Amino acid sequence: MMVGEALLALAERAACVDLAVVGTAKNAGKTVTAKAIMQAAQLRGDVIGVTSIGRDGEAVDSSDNGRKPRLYLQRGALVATALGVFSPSPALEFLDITDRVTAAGTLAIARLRTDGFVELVGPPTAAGIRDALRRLHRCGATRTILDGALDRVAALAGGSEAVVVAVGASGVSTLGEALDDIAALVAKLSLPPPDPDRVAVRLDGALTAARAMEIARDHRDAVVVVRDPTQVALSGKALLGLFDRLDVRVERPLRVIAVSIASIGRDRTFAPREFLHGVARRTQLPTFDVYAGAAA
Amino acid sequence: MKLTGFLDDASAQAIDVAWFRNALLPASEYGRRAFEAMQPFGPGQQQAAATSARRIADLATQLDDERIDALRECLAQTPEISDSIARISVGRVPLDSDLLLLLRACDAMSRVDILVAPFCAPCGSDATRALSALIERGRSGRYGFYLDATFDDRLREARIAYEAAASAFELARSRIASGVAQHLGRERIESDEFIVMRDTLTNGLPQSVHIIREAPTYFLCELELDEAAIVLLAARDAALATVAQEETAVRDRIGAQIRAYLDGLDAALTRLGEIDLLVAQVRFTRRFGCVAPDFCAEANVAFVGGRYLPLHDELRAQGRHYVKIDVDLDTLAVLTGPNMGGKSVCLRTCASIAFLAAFGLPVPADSARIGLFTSIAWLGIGAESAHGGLFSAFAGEVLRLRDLLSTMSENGLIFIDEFARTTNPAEGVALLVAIIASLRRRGCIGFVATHLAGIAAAADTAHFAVRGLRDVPKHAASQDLAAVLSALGDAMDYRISRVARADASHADAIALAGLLGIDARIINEAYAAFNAAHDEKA
Repeated sequence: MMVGEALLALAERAACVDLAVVGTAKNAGKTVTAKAIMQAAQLRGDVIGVTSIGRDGEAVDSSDNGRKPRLYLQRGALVATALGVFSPSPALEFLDITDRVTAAGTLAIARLRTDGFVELVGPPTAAGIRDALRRLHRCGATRTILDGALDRVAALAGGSEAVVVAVGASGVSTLGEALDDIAALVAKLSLPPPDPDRVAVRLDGALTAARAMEIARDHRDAVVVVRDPTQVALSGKALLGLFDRLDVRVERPLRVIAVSIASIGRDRTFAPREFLHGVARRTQLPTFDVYAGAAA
Repeated sequence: MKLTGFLDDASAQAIDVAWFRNALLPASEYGRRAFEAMQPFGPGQQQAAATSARRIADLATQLDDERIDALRECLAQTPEISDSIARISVGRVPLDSDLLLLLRACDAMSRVDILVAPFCAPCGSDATRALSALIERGRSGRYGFYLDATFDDRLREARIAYEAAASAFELARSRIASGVAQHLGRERIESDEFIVMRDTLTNGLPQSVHIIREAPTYFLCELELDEAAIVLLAARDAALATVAQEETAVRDRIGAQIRAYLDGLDAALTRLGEIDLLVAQVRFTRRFGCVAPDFCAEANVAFVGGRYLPLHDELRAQGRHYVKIDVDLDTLAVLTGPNMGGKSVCLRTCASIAFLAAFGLPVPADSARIGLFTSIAWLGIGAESAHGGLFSAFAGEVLRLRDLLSTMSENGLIFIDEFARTTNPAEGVALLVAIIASLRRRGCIGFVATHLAGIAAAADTAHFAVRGLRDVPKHAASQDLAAVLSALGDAMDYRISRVARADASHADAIALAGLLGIDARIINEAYAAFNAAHDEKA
């Protein structure tokens, strides 16, 4: 099982050229999954354009000094990252220097002329991400791959990317709790667009537990429409319970095609196969384990 | 545009200087710097102001919109390279991104020079051409830069050696990875760390793996390089270090060469900024049909067909007609007229035309004769007091008057819009008469717009008036304000005339109230009261 190739095939089946991998937490295997896709795409002859929402790809996690997988790309790949994190050697071919500013300086587009490691610090805003992806395509990328943290996923809402949700074992105490959280998260990220023929309650801001209760009480069988999945401010069992009572839709949906898992977290591990199959069962999406080369 | 001492914030707000700044803004950072450095011409500098305005107006007849747009686009794409220049000038090794920016700046200057060649002096120089030729070797594609091996033979050799070393290592690593994958029954190993389930192992773990973690059901592993691969890895890293060293040497050498051209580059960028500023001014002139004014030594604001551009632009966007006005102002005169008759617009027209002329710019009029002033000031409606909301409207105006009188120099241009409208009319008149006398002693000219009667005569000064309603608009009272405005516009004669004294026989305010929908009975009673008072006076 080559996970990268399988994910590319799923994206193609969903009529998506570009992909984004969004991770739930640190050590969710986000970068590992993105790397697998990048390798597979380059093997197929795609000119890949890579960027991230915010910072990613450092050898050591700058927030907690944990070891992180580095992003090693083959020559020909394009990257959109901050000038402040470009290594001077081996030299890259600089194609564009934008007026977008990231946490590590101005965003630039460059092509790798030799295989090498890169650190990604992309734009933090939705407009910035869209601009970076557009520029990558303009500079010759035939496929873009975005590595992004979940808290910035609003940047992808309404876009044409196929989204792979990377989930890990960190931050929860039991497998059951992890599966509940993942099922709720994937359901939230997969919320469909509104049906134009049905009357809907449109919310300007976030859908909180209190607002959800109010709506469920005042508008029976209501369809609630929020701007994008990040506007649903609930998680875990509470969110799953909400979806039982309310039909929630989003104006700017994401195109979630698959889930990837990392069963070994820094503070907790799950049995890889149990975790893989559990996630697949609960999310009803193709689920992959890059580490184990397995799918469910 | 440097306004300090010439136009304070409240006055700038009253004539909407922000609108003019926006309309005049150059396209590049260099042009914006030149724009911010613009100083107003003062009394005695008529010749320089006239030369500036004439040059812009002449260019506006020579450059067409297509060329101006092409220039603006080119200028807007000129990258900001101050950081790169600063880095190189202090002896730091330039980054490849610096070299790309320099290449693009040189490209932009060449394109700008081609576009402005017949009309004004170029920005490019021998220094920028030499700099461009130096970096050109690194051009990749149309717009990219790569520290190409053609810069240096040793760099070429180092890269060839690195490619060979990297291939050799990659081959060895792939051999190990393939062996492991084959042993595990996988096509490839996709991640640096990988999981092997115990129950899938029939022949045990392959030799070339290092176990990171062992669990009851699986192993977490990574590839383990053999001796030969480790030697090749070391060779690859050494080759990469040599590449890094050679690349730094090449960049250092390019940096040293660039330093010799920095003065010339700096001058060229300053010139680029001047061209950008000029193009923005020419564009403004064409867009708004401006003309170079005649500059005179006397204190005078005179124009035919003058327009206040922010309003003109707004009306044009709404498809509505704008009535141009003529003014010849050489003293501190009183301006009267009906509500919505254009008194404030007249003041803003004068102020904005004088403001543009002070910066040596063409002005929005059919013709104009303008003097230069030490300052332009605004008092009354439109100029908010800086003293906050604790004071009444009148007190706020008085405080602003106090501030203006304490800072306003001789030979200033001042516009007073309905000062003292909120206080006792008799005292308001007295105050205005005294203020006019004081400002005239300072050699100031301008307009005092007011509804208060008898000021011009009492101050012994010129009196201008908006002609006012030709007749009461025919349009019936309506809730449709656009229709009301249209009817009012048709009925109002906005022209300004010099008059001997105010004509108090009109009741334009009552007509306006009727037009805006006040109950007809109230309007009729108001007319009756007005006529009775008028008859009694007569």
